[in-house]
Amino acid sequence: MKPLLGIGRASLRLLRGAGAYALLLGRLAVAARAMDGRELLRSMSVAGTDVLPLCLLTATLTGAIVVIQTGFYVASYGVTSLLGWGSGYALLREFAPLIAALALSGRVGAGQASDVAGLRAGEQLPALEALGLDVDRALLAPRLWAVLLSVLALTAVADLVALVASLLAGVLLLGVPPGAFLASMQASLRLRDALPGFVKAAFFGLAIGLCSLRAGLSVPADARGIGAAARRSVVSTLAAVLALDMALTGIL
Amino acid sequence: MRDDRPANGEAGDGASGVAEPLRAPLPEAKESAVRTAALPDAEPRPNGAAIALSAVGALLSGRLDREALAEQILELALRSLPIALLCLAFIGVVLEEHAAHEARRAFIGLDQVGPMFFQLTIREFAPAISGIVVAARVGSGIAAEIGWMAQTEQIDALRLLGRDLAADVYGPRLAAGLLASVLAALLGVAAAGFAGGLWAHATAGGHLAAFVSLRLIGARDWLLLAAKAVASGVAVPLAAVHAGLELGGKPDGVARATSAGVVRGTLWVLAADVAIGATLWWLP
Amino acid sequence: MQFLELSDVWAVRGGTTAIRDLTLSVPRGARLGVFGPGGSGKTTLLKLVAGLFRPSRGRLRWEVAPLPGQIGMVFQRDALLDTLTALRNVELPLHGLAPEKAEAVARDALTRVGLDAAAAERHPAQLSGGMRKRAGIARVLAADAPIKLYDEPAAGLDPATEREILDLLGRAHAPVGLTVTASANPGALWARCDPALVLAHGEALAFGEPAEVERRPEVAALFGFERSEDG
Repeated sequence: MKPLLGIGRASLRLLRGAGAYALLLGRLAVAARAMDGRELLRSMSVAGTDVLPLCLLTATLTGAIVVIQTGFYVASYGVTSLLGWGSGYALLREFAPLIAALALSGRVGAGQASDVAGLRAGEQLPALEALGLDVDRALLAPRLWAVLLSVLALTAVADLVALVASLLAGVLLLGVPPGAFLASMQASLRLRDALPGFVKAAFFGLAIGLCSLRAGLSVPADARGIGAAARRSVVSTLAAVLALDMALTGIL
Repeated sequence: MRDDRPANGEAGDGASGVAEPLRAPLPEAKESAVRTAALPDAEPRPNGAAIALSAVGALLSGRLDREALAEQILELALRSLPIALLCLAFIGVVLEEHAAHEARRAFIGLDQVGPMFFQLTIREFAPAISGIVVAARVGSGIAAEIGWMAQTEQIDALRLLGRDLAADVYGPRLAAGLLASVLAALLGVAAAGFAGGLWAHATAGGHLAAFVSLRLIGARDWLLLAAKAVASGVAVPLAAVHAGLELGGKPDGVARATSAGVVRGTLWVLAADVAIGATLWWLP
Repeated sequence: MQFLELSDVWAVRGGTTAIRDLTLSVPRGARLGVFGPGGSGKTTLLKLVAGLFRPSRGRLRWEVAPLPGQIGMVFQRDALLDTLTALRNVELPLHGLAPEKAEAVARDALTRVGLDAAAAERHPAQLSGGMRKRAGIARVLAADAPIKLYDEPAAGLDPATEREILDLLGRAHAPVGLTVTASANPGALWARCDPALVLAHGEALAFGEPAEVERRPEVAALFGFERSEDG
């Protein structure tokens, strides 16, 4: 009986959680039509520009990792001509958006959640509400859509940087002639190979934005809550990104 | 320098012995020849190497606080496992989808890509993804906690009371973080392999045995897995302790320490991945 | 040389100058009071004396360098460990004593600051701000280090309790050591210290005997002293 109760309780909690996310998304989609443009730009500079160095670094490392792993196989089967295609394909479709989203869920997710929790702990959100300001339009919707737009833009940058890094790693670490690498990339990669990656990135961005806002809104409004919000946000964005990745890979 | 200083009015200056009203302007700070920007911060910066060495010293000499160690192992190592294994299982399914796609394109049997799938899991995906999850879960936990302790001056108090921070605070977290990383990577291999294999079996009629096959796995693969897991296990908690100590005392310290701990930990995981992968490439 | 000497001490914190060009010396057995508005560098000065911070420039010298455990401090943020009860927090500095002895000393200190046996068993999160402050004071009283530093010891306490606590701290003063008390509000503390240091923007506005310092127009202006308030 006890395990059954546990399963029941867990699924209820899951349903309630999913409902809360859906409600939040709906609310902020409605608020998006009249959101504060300046706050959107400010949030984009936080979620986009400030994260750019981290994103460049992760993309570089990811490009190198993929080429090294592909290299082990290419070398053992002796088909160097496939290296460029293999790493390019894997990067665009799967790894650049995934790794960018994982890195961002740490930086943006934690930052945004603690930011919102801090606004509540400092009683700034209640104060704004008391002034009759629509908090959704003024603060929350801009933060959500800024993350979505930033993740899309950062994925484009990550794609490019990761491809260059994989080329460099292939040439410098594995000793593949750059001409052969580029030719193999050019021959078989189409622009539309990058499309599934962007669809994924859009969903990842939405998940990061929603999870971090919800974490920031649901913790107790005090100093300890700020740390808790950051931790909760990091874990829930991670799980959401990976679950979405699984679902979307099946569909795309 | 500060620019929020109240403007210095004429009224307060040179007044005689009569007390001024309560709201008196503060005297303007003197400009001086000392270039304060060039001076070092009064608060000593934490030193990562010293923290690591003192924790190892505490571990080897048996000074590690047993109670704190048990608590951290439960909180960091055991409670991180569900999310880590869940993520690895997701990745196993995603990888299997890609493998099945490639197998169909190349007209080869699904089961033939199975061993390669498992080899890639051991070499790359299990250590990298578990490392990132550990950086998120363990790194944020440690950084937030140490950051809070720095913010509320608990670290200062312990230092002043002459307590051994390595034995009481850092050591248990570093040890539990290392255990978390190694456990997540090892069990993650199994989680990803079985999830991918079961998925292949359920959706494409593959055989589970092909997807957890050790046929291609050699000493090099296990070495890669072990080296990456240990490197992440050392780097992630250390980066988190360091971020907590460095940023915790500042305004917004807990939040800043938490996100810095996660970000730095993730970067160390990826950097170690590249460095170890490249090193083993060159080894015979 | 004097018991504690600061010469040309500067302290930079996070890009801001918290203490600038501070030179003073304090004899053995002094009860130094540090006054100034918020952000004037009081906490930084206490942490410099405690050895938790190092001067960015200049020197801080002791006649005899204090050994570990010879400095006790009450922190602005209480600095009680979240994971321990009030009683265990007060026992922290007593690790040299036998457990029963340490507990007895800690209980005695808690009683002296007005915390009962029930409060002693609670964790800091379950105590009010004033009670946490008192537990922090009890930790310093229990350890009874010769050098005692108090950062806003009376913050969050009502005036009657404030006087009570300040009297208690006065009795705990070690004539062979040093007591430094920092506060934004001179109030009842002013008459209980000698010498007094008034800080503004990290600089010494005045330093000397309280009766003499409070006659300075800039100090009187800062704190709104009137002649009749001396007590």
